[in-house]
Amino acid sequence: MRVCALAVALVAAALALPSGSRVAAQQPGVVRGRVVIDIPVPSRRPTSAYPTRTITPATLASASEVRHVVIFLKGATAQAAPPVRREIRQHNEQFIPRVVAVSVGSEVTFPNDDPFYHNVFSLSRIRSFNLGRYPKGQTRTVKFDKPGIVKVFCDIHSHMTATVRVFDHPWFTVPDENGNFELSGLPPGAREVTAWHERLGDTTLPVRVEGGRAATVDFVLPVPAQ
Amino acid sequence: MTRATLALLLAGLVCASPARAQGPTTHAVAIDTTAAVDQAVTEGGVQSRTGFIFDAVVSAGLGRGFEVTARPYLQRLPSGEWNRQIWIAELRYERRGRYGVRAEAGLIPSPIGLANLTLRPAQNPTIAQPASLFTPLPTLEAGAPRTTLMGAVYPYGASVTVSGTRWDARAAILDSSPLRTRRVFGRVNPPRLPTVVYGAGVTPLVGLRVGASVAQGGWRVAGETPAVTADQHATIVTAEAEYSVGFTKVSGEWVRDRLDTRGGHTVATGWFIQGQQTITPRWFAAGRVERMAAPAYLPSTGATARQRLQGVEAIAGYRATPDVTVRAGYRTRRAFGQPAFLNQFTVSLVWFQRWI
Repeated sequence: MRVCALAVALVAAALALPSGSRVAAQQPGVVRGRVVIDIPVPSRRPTSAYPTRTITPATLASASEVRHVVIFLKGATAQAAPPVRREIRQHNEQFIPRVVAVSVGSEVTFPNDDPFYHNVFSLSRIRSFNLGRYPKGQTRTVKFDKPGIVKVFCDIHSHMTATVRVFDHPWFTVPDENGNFELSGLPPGAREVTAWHERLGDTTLPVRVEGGRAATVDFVLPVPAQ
Repeated sequence: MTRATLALLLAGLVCASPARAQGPTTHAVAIDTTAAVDQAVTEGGVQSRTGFIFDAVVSAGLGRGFEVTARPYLQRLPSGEWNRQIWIAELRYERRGRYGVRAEAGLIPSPIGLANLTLRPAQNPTIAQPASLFTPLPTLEAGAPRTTLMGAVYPYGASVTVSGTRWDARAAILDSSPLRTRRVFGRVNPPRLPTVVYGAGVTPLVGLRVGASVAQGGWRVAGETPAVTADQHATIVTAEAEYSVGFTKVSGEWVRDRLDTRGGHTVATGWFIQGQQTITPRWFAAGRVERMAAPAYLPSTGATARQRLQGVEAIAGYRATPDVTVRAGYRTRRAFGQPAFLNQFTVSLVWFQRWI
């Protein structure tokens, strides 16, 4: 009787186990790719009709423009993601990096590296703030509690702009200096991945996400004319 | 000469090379504009005045630290006339670094004082500009032309500024007196008399700067009126300070003019203190207190009496967007020789747009 019961239990357990393909179908997928920006995207020229009496020692440093692209899963349903802490430095009269992507509840710090004042502020609907003037070595922190796009400015230097993209899901990333990116933990299925750039707009490509596998999506921005 | 120089500078703006495809990451050209409408209503609604200002600043990089900058300006005067000006049209060289150097030539921003650096409506914390820039002083003596305490626009000049982290110094030469306003498109302008300017400042800590300047040159040319037989000179001394930290900015300026007259010399003085406080990301408050004193020639008696100007302005501002600011406030001013204060309610809408 005991042997019989054990056999029934084993059969039942075996039947309860999913097949290998079922496991793969339920595992999250990965999308990898590369972003290439095919046109020059120059930043604003620092200038003023009435410059201050002192000449700021800053010199502009260029950064890889692909670093200012945000890749994200389009139409993703809201899902809690762990908050993170990112940094936008005020360095040589520039926000570095100029774009950061964070999840809801995250904080962004704004250290001042320059030996003169900046005045970081935003009047965006989802988060307005004014950090006032503070000297080199000091920092201020802003928490972002709603998803959306937050445009950040300096009240003193009109050529300084930055963007904080706040997501209510975990499927977003920013490419590295070479444009390479990876979105992991994606739910399997037919999905759309969007590459967003503040001036080049949204570029969306379809992708088939398969559980346990990596799909490839490469972006060329802007989309070449047909 | 004027039009030829302007044409040359404008040609430089147009012909500036665009950004190379894979080279520098900054635009070759920068363009921003300001449009401002302001309305002042005298207490009791007796008088109403609408002003309009539109300006643009266009600069183009020429490489190696050189750029050309122009600021055309259009203003509707209270009389209803339109005032067209070119306030800046200059070639500028700037080298940044531990010791920064800036050289400018053409129609340059004023090298004198502090108030001249906030001439654009979007930079001025209040609605009105300091009286020292635009309000004419009383007639100093019989037949004398009207002057300002420290004019806001100069025709031509050249200046060199050098600065370190904690200091700055500059020298400039202007082709006419800053006390007498010239207009680029004006049919009648004051005579050209060179003025030399020296200025310096110290920045003991970030946000605090204390500076001073001296300008010396002719303000009236021999033969301008039959009674003036020799060039007459003027010395303008200014001292300024500005301090800002956190959400507060305070600045002030003191000016003293010493002008040669037929009978010797005369002195006009003035000062202002202004402040701005950010209350929330959108709301701010600002105000200015100012005083001026100058001798006034009284034709009825032939004597000279000292007259004063007093003014106070307080405003509340609201930033609707990063580009649009609405300001409303109260201004009271007792003009030179007036027995009573003129009280006005003012409102202003300023739109600043950085295009490139």
